[in-house]
Amino acid sequence: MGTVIRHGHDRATSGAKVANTPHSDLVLPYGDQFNDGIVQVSFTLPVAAGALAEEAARQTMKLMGLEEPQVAEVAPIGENATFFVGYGKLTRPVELSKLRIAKPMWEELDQITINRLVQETLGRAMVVVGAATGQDAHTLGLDAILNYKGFAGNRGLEAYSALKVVNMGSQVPNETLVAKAREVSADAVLVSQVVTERNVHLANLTNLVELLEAEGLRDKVVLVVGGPRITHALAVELGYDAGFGPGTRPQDVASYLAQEVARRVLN
Amino acid sequence: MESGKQLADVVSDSGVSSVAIVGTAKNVGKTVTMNYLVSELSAKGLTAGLVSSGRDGESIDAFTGQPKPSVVAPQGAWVATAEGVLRGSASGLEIADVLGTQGLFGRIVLGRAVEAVALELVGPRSARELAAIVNKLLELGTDIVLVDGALDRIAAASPKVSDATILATGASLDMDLESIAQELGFVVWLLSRPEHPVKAIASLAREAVEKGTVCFIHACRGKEQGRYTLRPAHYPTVLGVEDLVLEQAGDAAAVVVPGAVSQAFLDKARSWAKQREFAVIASDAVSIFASKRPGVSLYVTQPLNLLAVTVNPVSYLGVSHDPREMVNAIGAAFRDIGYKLPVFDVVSGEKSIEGVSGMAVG
Repeated sequence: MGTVIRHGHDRATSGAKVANTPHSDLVLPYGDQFNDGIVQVSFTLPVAAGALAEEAARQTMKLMGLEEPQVAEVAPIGENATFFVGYGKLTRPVELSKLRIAKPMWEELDQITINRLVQETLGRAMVVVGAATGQDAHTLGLDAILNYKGFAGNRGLEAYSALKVVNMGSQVPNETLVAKAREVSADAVLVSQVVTERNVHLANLTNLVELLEAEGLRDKVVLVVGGPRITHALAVELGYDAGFGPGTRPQDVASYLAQEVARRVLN
Repeated sequence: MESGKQLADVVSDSGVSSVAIVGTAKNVGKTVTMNYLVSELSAKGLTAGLVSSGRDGESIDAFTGQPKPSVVAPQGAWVATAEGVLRGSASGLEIADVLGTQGLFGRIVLGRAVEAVALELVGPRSARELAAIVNKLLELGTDIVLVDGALDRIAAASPKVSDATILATGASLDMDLESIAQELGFVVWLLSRPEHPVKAIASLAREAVEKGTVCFIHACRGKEQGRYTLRPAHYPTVLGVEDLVLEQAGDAAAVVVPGAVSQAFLDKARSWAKQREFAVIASDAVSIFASKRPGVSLYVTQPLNLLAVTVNPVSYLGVSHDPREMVNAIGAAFRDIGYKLPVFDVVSGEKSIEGVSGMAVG
């Protein structure tokens, strides 16, 4: 019954001809020459150093999709573990023209322009509430964006006359953050989160969105999440307006906030 | 298999014009369920509309890197998605409208499939925008709109967005069958919260939610016994002011919370309620953030219409349950808590005693 639909398909194109010149649409890692597909990998296996461990390392590399796997370095780590460096070849290129990159839509503005844009749009300062939520005890990223002194010579949001910053610090429960956003009539909510390898923080991030929806505040705030493992696409899928990853400067966030608020007021 | 209703029958017989498919977690088979439903409903001659509250049908999962099924819109079906993801699928769609609403990949477009087309759905960012898109699809002549929930978010099930709900669950939720059944029993209990059984209280509660203020409902005494009155607490929310709100409760029979009902509030209301009858009334089940049974009477002003549960016995982590065992365990968990809710495995066609077989595409 019904049509049978194949599940999934891969962005990589197998068997396609890859030119060994730069500026090709099909790309492979660069080892010794363009698109030779050679990569170096390193990993540790919980196996005592020896022939068995080396074969296990080669099999591991094969399972990674590497052809012609070679073990280059072997270093025992204690009695029952071995560290490896290996080389192998990838043959399935990525097709650049088929990739889609999601980025927040904003252009970089200077501090004076940002302040003027906010004042012109809102007729007052924009209220920005920031917190590291849930169990997250990291405030480094949050402070770098919010604090006056900023980060890498780029002043934080507190330095902008048109931004009124409420920094709630770390380990803030979502309920407390939402209550504060309501109390101060926040225009923007900034959440800092270290999304971990096992994605345990994701549920906390979606919970915040659901709480804001239930409180009728989701449409009233620009909701932003930042952290070392955050991408804009991930953030939007979680229900946020924008996501900022590593290397983000306070000016990037301020530029985005000013333009997003202006866009909403105009619509 | 046996005669009886398929999941698509349950949906079409319900007569609703929109159904949210929400998941207890990621990768529990929401897309498979949606593909199955849209294909079957179209075969019944219904014009279906498809919209996502997040992102759906992308080829590779952004979190796990696993391949994911495409969304397949049959010929004649309507879809809402972002203009930026259409590229290859655009030729199969006749675009009817472009909305100002921004999705992940640009503006949201509404289009009709001129032939069966595999595509990616990208939705808007808020429940209000989602509700507007559902209405727009209905205006364009859709008989039934299927709303795909994002990740573990259930906002799509809000009565403000959709008329009915299908709960998708699976091996992604938890590895152990007993825990899955138990956890699911709780979720179903929560999503099935009814109106307050006393009509006068239920009616006053709706009034309180419209006011947008936390309110108490009191029973009148003496001659007016059997009647109730509404008393505003002058708080728009209970978040952060749980104690302050409850301190004002006096001899109230119920507290009505128009916004989020947090676990902290339920815990405190429970100790408050120990002395006597006291109920917490939320706007709808989507606004209740309980992680366990609260130990206090819990009602809503707008009940969800929970139609069915679908199970996906296979986890992307490779853990797989026997479909029949899984469907039976979940069916039994529902019976334990007094719910006669049909359970379907849309992949292998297993069904619970109340349910019947369903067959999926893919």
